[in-house]
Amino acid sequence: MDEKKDSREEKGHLHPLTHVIRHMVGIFRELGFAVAEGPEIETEHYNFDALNIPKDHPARDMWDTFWLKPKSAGKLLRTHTSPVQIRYMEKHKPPIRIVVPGKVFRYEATDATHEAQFYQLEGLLIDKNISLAHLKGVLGKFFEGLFGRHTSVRLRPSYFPFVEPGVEVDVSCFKCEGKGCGLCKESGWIEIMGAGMVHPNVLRGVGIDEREWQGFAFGIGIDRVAMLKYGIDDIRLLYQGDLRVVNQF
Amino acid sequence: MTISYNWLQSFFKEKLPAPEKVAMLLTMHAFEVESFEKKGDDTIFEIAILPNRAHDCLSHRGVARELAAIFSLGIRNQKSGIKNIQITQNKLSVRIEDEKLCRRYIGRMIENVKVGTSPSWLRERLESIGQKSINNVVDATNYVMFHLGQPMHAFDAGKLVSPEIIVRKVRDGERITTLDKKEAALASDTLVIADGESVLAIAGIKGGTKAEVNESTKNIILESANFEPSNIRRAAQKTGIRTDSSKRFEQGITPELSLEAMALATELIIEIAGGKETRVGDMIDQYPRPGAPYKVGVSLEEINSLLGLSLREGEVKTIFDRLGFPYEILDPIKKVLLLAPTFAGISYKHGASVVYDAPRAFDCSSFTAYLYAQAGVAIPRISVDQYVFGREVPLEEIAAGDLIFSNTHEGTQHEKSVDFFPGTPVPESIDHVGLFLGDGMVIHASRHNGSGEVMSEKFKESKAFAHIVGVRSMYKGGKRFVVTVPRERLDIRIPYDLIEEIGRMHGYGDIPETVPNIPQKNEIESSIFYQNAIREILASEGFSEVYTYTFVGKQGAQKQPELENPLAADKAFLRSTLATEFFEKFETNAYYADLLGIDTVKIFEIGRVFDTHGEREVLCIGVKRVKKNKKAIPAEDMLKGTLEKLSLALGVGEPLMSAEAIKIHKENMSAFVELPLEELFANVDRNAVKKLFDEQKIFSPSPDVSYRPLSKYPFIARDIAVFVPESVDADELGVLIKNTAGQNLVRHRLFDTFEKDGKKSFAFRLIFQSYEKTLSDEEVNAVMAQVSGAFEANDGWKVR
Repeated sequence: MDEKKDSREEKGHLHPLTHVIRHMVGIFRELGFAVAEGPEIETEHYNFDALNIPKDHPARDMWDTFWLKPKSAGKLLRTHTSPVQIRYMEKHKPPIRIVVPGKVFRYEATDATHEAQFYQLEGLLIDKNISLAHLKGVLGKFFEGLFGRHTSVRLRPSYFPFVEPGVEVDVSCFKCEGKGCGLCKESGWIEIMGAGMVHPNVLRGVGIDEREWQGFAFGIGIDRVAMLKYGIDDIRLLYQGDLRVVNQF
Repeated sequence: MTISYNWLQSFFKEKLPAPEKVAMLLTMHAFEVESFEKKGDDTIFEIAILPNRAHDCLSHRGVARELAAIFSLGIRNQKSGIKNIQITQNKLSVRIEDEKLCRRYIGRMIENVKVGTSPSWLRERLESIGQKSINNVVDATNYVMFHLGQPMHAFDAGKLVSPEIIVRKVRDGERITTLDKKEAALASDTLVIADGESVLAIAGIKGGTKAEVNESTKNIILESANFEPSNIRRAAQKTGIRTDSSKRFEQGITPELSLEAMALATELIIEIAGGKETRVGDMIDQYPRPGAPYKVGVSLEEINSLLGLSLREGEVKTIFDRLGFPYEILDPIKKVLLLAPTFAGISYKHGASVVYDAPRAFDCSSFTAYLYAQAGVAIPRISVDQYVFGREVPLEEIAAGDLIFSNTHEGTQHEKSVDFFPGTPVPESIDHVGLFLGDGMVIHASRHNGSGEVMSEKFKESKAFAHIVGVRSMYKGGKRFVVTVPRERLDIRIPYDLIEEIGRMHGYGDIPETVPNIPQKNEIESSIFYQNAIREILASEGFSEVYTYTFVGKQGAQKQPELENPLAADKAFLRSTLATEFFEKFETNAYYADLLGIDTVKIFEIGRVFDTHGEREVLCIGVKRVKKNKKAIPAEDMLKGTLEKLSLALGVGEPLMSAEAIKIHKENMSAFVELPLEELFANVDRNAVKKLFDEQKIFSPSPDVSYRPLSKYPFIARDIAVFVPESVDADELGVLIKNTAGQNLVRHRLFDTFEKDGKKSFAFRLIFQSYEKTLSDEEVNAVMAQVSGAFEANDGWKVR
């Protein structure tokens, strides 16, 4: 057998997370969003303080953090892609529309649904008179593109220090279309992301006057979407470099 | 938090809706009810109280208040007053040494109590939410905490050296034995409750055994106090003791609650532990700095603009009423003008606080800030910040309600803003502000007014306004709702907070989906575009993409950032190279080569690597041949060929890397290269890449793949070779294999063909694996016999 021919002919495969990230980015590009990136090693300032999460505030408990040695230097692995919002707003004046895909880290024991590293996609839109209705509108378009069908968006009260009002976003189950099934635990809804209107403290901190501009931000776990879409039952499979998984995509 | 339905019911005259409905509506309007379960005649909810509501909702009354707002119910007034009790003459004294860390301390002596078991109703209440009953006095304090949210403590008064409570910082070397009999060293800055001799309790966190209340206790001292949150949080972290009490204090609760809690606890203890001889002392209330309630304003326009709704004034009023938020609707400028003259004569105090000193004392800018706050307009506290914050008005167009800024050259000179957009230059420099009342009159607080007070005067004649820097308008909107924020709602401080209250109580359900105007699409960022072009190129060259871990062990001599808190010793560092992971992935994937149907493991990853200076993005490409084969291209040559292709496609001119950069492991038949992307991208020809790749195509929907989970059972490989007549092709054999090899066949692959004497030989490798069990040799042999049989059933086919 001609080995040369064999190994050249077989096409390689992209990682499922790459597929999902590209899909998401593609949808937001059509909605006029630019793509931004930022460092994985962050400072306490960008990861917390600038996001209205002060030191010694219990809200910090929401993010279990990996700190770099020495801790006194205040360097950490970003716990979310939100610091990129701040870095971007410092350099760009509104109107702003960005999505930020990237790797984030949480100090937590790993199991089938938890990893110490995973991917998030952050979104930020700042303009005149932007409201929760626009958040719903943009997310409606996003889910429609992501799941390939019409979905409903449901907002519930929640809390993230960098937004106010803060909301939990549920999307009607793309599998059963809201009738109730195993995937959505019979509820018809899938809890899919956190979002809200950007907190005035965050805007002011980067020199944006909240009397003139307002906007929304959201963050979605990419791994979870990939797992939901493809029925991958263990998040750790995404980071094993295992071609038995990757070569299926 | 664990919440009892029956306990909630005790706050209402009306019957609450069914637990299912309560759970659903709390989730949609307040916070998520994670689960609920029937327990006897009660239902127990697990509620994820949001962190910003931990101030007021880590209690049954807090949740009951939410229900009252959601269902428009009235909360029942609590029992009030203690009747028919004897007063003790023995005086308790309370001394707070650090007023910043202890905002309020109410102590009360109760004498001649009978410590014993609690009545069954109290035991049941506490047990229903998973709390253990200890004794009637301790249970009463715990009940108050879960009822109202105020942590309390009871001390055995007989065990104190004298009836004196001191709230102070820990002294060097002081230790405590906590109620659970553990010795704890106390870090400096920890606040403690002590008698004249030693530590009785870690303030707000846990009591000690020294003054423990037990069956022999006769007289008790009750504590209902308020401690500064971040100090409690630090102390709890340092001592490693987190309690129901510390959790509440570290979130911050209103000091106003202490009084109500003390009244309720006293009443309860008299009821369940009291007798004829019981005597109650006065409340000894140390409350050094009571604050005024906050006022927060919002306009209908602001509400609708942020929520994307078109609520009417009446709807907003109803929601504030349901929430129990007192409010006025007013024209802010009129309110400011009406209010200002009423403070004439109030004394001047430099640095007066808007919350704690107003309206008993003002300085110039606390006066203006206070006036606007009362009118529901939040303006900065410092004069220079008010100047930067306000809208510029020419002096000749000055209107009543505008602020006039001047420089008297006597006060603190501010040449840039302090808190509002800090650092904004104000070269003119500002040290004074007053409110223009109209008719040429200004009102302002100044040390030079009379004996140092608020005074109005003709502003043309005013010395303080001899050097006017400018005029600013603070507000240009219309009427505002001005809410007097209930004391317990520490989360409501700005208009956005009120808007959230309106939004969640109204419900987010009928907010429409409105897509904002979509601007012209810009070209996609180069780095994102190139990364994905590289992925396309490599995939077409047969490479599969992997994502590996950032956390690794020590990687040779390289300087890697180290974690303060690693999950495991072999994950204590950030990777400085992907090489280690790649050489490992080569082996694990080579093991599955047959299952994967590959001869070569070809992988790549785009990711960050780190050194002590920072991070950079790299592209790693690796090749490993699975089996020795002299005829095959060596791994390193394959890699070089790939790099040439990559260079060509990206238009970077010469091949990407010199041969030396490729790491070769001859004995493993593998090769690896790591390329820093920033340098590479600097040389990419965007037009060349654009010719090859279309953005739209790259960022297209993820494929609809039906993913097969991995089997945890081993696979078995079997080869079969067969001579067939010349006219037969391999596909025909493939079909036959598929049809006869059964459901456990996962892959078949042609690996050898030759012709001899007018016959063809095909050799296939069949891979078997089950999802249910480990396949035995016998089972697979039987399947192979079937395949053989099926082959030989054809004329002229001969299995070798």
